[in-house]
Amino acid sequence: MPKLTIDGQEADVQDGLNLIQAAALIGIEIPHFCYHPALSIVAQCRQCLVEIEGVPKVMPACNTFVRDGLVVKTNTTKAIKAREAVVEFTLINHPLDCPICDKGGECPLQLTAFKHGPGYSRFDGPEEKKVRKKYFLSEKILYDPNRCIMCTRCVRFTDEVTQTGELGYDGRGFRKKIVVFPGKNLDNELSGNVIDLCPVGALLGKDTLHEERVWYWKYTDTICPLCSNGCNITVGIDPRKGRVARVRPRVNHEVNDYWICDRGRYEFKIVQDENRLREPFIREGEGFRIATWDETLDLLAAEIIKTKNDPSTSIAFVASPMLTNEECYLLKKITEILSIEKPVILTEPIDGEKKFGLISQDPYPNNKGLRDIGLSSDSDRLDGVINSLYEGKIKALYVVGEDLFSVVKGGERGKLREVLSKLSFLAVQDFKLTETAKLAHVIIPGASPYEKDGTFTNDMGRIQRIKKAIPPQGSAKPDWEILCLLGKRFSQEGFNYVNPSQIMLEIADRIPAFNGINYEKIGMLGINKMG
Amino acid sequence: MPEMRIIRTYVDKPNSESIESYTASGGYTALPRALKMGPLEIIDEVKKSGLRGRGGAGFPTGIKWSFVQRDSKQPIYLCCNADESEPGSFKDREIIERDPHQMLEGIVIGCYAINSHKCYIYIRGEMPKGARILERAIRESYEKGFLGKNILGSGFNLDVVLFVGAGAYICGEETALLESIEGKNGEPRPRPPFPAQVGLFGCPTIVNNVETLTCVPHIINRGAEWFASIGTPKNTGTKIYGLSGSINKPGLYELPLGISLRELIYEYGEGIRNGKEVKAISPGGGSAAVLTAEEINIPMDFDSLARAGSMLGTAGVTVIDDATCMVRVAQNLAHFYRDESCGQCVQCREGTWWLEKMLTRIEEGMGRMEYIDTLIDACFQMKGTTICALADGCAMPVESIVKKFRHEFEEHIKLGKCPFGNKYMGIWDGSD
Ligand SMILES: Cc1cc2nc3c(=O)[nH]c(=O)nc-3n(C[C@H](O)[C@H](O)[C@H](O)COP(=O)(O)O)c2cc1C
Ligand code: SF4
Ligand code: SF4
Ligand code: SF4
Ligand code: FES
Repeated sequence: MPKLTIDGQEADVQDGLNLIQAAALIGIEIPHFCYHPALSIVAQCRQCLVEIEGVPKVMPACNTFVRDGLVVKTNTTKAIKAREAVVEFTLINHPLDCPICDKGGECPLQLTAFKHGPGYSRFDGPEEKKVRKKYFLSEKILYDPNRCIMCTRCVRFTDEVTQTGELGYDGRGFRKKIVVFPGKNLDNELSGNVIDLCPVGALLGKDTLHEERVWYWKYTDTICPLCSNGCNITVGIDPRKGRVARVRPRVNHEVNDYWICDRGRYEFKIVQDENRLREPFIREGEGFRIATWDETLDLLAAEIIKTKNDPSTSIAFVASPMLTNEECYLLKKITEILSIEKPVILTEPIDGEKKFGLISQDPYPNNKGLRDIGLSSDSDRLDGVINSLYEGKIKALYVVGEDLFSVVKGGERGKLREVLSKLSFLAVQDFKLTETAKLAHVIIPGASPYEKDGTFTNDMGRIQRIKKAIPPQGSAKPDWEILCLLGKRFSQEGFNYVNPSQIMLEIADRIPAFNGINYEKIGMLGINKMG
Repeated sequence: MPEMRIIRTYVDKPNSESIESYTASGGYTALPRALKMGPLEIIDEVKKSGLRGRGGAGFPTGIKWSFVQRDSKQPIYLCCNADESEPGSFKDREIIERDPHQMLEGIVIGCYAINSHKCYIYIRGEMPKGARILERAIRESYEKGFLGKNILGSGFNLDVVLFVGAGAYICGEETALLESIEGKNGEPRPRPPFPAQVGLFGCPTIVNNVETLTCVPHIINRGAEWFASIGTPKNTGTKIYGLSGSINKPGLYELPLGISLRELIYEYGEGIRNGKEVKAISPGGGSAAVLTAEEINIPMDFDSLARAGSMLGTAGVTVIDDATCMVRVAQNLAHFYRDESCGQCVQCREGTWWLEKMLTRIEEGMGRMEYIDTLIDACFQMKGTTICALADGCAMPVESIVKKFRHEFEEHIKLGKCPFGNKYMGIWDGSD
């Protein structure tokens, strides 16, 4: 552990750190643009200049590493002036069009100019700034060469992280600009990350271009529900439109490092916008009518009891790995109280190498958690639910979050439609109108993963919290709330939870895989399953 | 007074570039001697000779060679820097075109000393003639057994590869040169690590200038003491000075280090053209701070010029006469560096651009008094703050011109036009 001094403060730090990292450890901020912990060090932006005792020149902190006895000074006149000069140079040709720049408000250049700049520019005549045309680097990313400060983070990202090498630069010196290599496309599945990496508004997401000032968005830390990796994300909510506006990665070195994939970044829209269910529905003749929650749940409870009491028929509960651990637990608890068969899962987890170390081929966020809760997968049952349906052994079905048509093979869809329409009772609980829901007698509107609290267990066994970023649509409710309301119709006790955190305490008590877990311990970065 | 020709002895002879001419005049006799000496002894001899790098920085060559870990498991490379693009410099070009075997012999000895079996000669793209001549010279050396396997029966192998650059001043900077050979954009690397540890393809590498390597066979043949006796104690040997600008006899002159600038200009260059007076002198290539006429007695060596706030650099001396507008000189230099900056460091990318802009405005009569101090301050912040010395190379001459010829800047601004009618170097107004 080298011992060094930074601005008079002694610091015992771990070997191998550079001065930006070491200073941060003792609360000293050294401004920087090109340095990023996940990328190679190029020392190009020169914003991090500091003084080192015994060295005549100012040195870049990013490319100077801790050493025993090193005396670093970030606050001498010489160092301060050097960094001020860097800001002044950087802004000479920078448009400073912050009022119409999507980065404004969260722009490292803006912040650095404010905190470390001289507060003036001696370059006069904005009409003299060099102006170049904007152009798209991909269908989704717009490049503004005027705002670019040539930190090359984006280039290094495609060189070093994705190793797809789509980006490079064209021209030399003041003519330099970022370009896509001829014959290539910036279309790797992590490409959107360059937008976050860019320390200025030079790389802009087309999907949110000029949509909103970032400070109007409200932010919630949660987990991406679009694959089994469970990348940590922050979602920005547009409070006026009441929907998710953008998704950004949240650093978690155990799960997704600094990145998310483009599905996670862009496809939340599908979950959110397509065919949303906003009210409970009850079938009436060929169509549906909007119903009240009470009558819908009463009808569901009554049908469940009716089938349970009729020895000639049987009912199956189907759970989707889109559901949280807490919701599955409640669903299972209901089957236990009624002494009927446990809910089943119709999908199998898909293993295999993850692309770029994070994109899983398993499109469900909680295949692992559902199994830990103790649900059985369909293949564990001798004949399987679908076969039992075909054979007429199951007469009633309560499907939570799953679309059976996406589970069976293409050729079997006709047959499935036939048996589902013959069921004595079909209830579907979902946040979107699925093909299965269209055949239901009762439709119960649930919440998308962006609209409820709970936990997912990712494919590596890490339990992570999802958080409600926006309220469910219409009169829809989070699924755990719906299941509590349903449970109460079978039992006075055992369904009086105020929030999913209370459900987790009970799970931790009863299910060994969750022993000792609570929301506090899970924190915002998740926790690996005990044992 | 004649020159003191060591390197330039045969440059005027017809066919001096051929191997026959070189061997007939005693060429390739240092090589067998060196191969018998052993590598460490060679390095020692070069150290004792006091030879300092002729590429610009004047770093002692023997010491540089001893930085390489000779028993490295990785290959060790020597790169011969023939990118010569410094404004006012044309000395390496003559060696390449008129006597390339001297340099090749120096390369073989250098490689043997640092245990390298591969040398890249990085030649500037705008020197196609030099490249052709070098190509032939390399082929001849292979044929005669001075290159290739088991050189002169010593068991030492060496391959030499000629690499033609695409024409960028910055590729003469040693780490940009390495990037360029690796097939990447020619952009300097941050140091540490230094090339002697992590250089070409990640392997230990020494970069030496053409003239530096060309000195080596002479040191081996005639001894370190002989070499050290030329020049001054810390600035040994001869140096090829290039005279250009407003001078009666422009050209190359090989003379001991430490010769006075006045002697160089008036004895060898035969004075200023058209009866003009000296106004300023750029003593070491475009990147050096300019000297005024009062400083003309300075000894032309690394240390004296450094003490005067300038540098010997490439010893390309450009004489500026009293009809020349100094603002125009500064503007022209800034323009060059603006175009040649690789664009990594903001002080350089934006600084060169800004200097050029301010200087152009002043030259065109649209300047303001504040610009003068802003120029000085911007230059100050461009020095010693960047990855490589190109930014310094722009700031040093511009800063010196602004400081030493401030009155000309003030006059431009007051008059609202150039008092010299935009004259550049007196003689060049587009018609000459
Ligand atoms: C911008 C820039 C351009 C340079 N161009 C050349 C060049 O064309 N030729 C050269 O020999 N050295 C050039 N150098 C110096 C080299 O970086 C290096 O110091 C030199 O090749 C080392 O050789 P030496 O030790 O034999 O002098 C340049 C340096 C800078 C900063
Ligand atoms: S990149 Fe930053 S500083 Fe530049 S215009 Fe945008 S918000 Fe302003
Ligand atoms: S586009 Fe952004 S990330 Fe890429 S070099 Fe420019 S400033 Fe850096
Ligand atoms: S100083 Fe200029 S030329 Fe050198 S690395 Fe920086 S930007 Fe490139
Ligand atoms: S962060 Fe150190 S030079 Fe850019």
